[in-house]
Amino acid sequence: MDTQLKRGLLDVCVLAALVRGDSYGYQIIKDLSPYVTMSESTLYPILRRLEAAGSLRVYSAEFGGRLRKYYSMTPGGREKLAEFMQEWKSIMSIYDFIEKEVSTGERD
Amino acid sequence: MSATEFLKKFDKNLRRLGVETGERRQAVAYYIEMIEDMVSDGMTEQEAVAALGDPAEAAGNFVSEMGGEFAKKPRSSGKALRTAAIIIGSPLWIVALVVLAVIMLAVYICIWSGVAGLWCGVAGFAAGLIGGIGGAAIALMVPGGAVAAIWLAGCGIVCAGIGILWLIGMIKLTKVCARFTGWSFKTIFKRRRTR
Repeated sequence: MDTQLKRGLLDVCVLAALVRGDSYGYQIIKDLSPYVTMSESTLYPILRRLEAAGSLRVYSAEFGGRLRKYYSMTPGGREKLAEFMQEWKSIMSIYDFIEKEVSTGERD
Repeated sequence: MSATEFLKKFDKNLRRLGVETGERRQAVAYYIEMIEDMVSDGMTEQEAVAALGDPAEAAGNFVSEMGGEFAKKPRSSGKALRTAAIIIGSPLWIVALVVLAVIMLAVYICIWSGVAGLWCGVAGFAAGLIGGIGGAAIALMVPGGAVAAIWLAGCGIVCAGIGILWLIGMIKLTKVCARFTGWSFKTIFKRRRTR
């Protein structure tokens, strides 16, 4: 898949994993695993990127006698998700066109 | 591979890829936390490390994904350093320029005083000629002074001959010096203007 497109999609995936509530690295990977296989080395740059863009906030909280980094979605992140849902509609209509052309073209 | 071994290799690879210390520390902390969470989730340390894959590959993936944000930032500090060097170095530049100007001036003075000295030679021979002829004239007035008069006149003529040759040489030398002075001035001022 086009890496640029995939990268954008994975950013949104990570944001979506924070809709229900704050989460941490390993939990995000586990939540995504039924749908997307995301390695630890892929997740880290996404988290850093989203943090830099102001889409999420990072804080540390104690867990089992150690500190764990939690990620929390910001209003900016929510906005970005809503934008994606909006854009996806137009992407879907593009997909419909491509799909129709390819399938009718193959039939000819 | 133990967790420590994995982290050490991961850090070493990041360093080799030019990632700065602060960023490396953060990335390693992220992996430490990841391993701890995997172990909390019921994995053994060995299993957790195996799930993380190859440390070199992970480091490479980090750097390629992070791109510019992750790499060292030597350019901005280099620029600042260069600016600082120019500011600190500028008085030295002024001093160097003044020294150079003084040296140039000294060279001109040396050359032209040399030329002036050699022109004195011409004057000397002219004086020799006048002295010789004058001396000869006086010697002629003295009885029995003919031999001395001839000798003095001869000396005056020799002085004139040498003086004429000297004069020709001096005219050429002066022209060369004038040309050098003009040329050196022109090149210095041309260079200034282009700078």
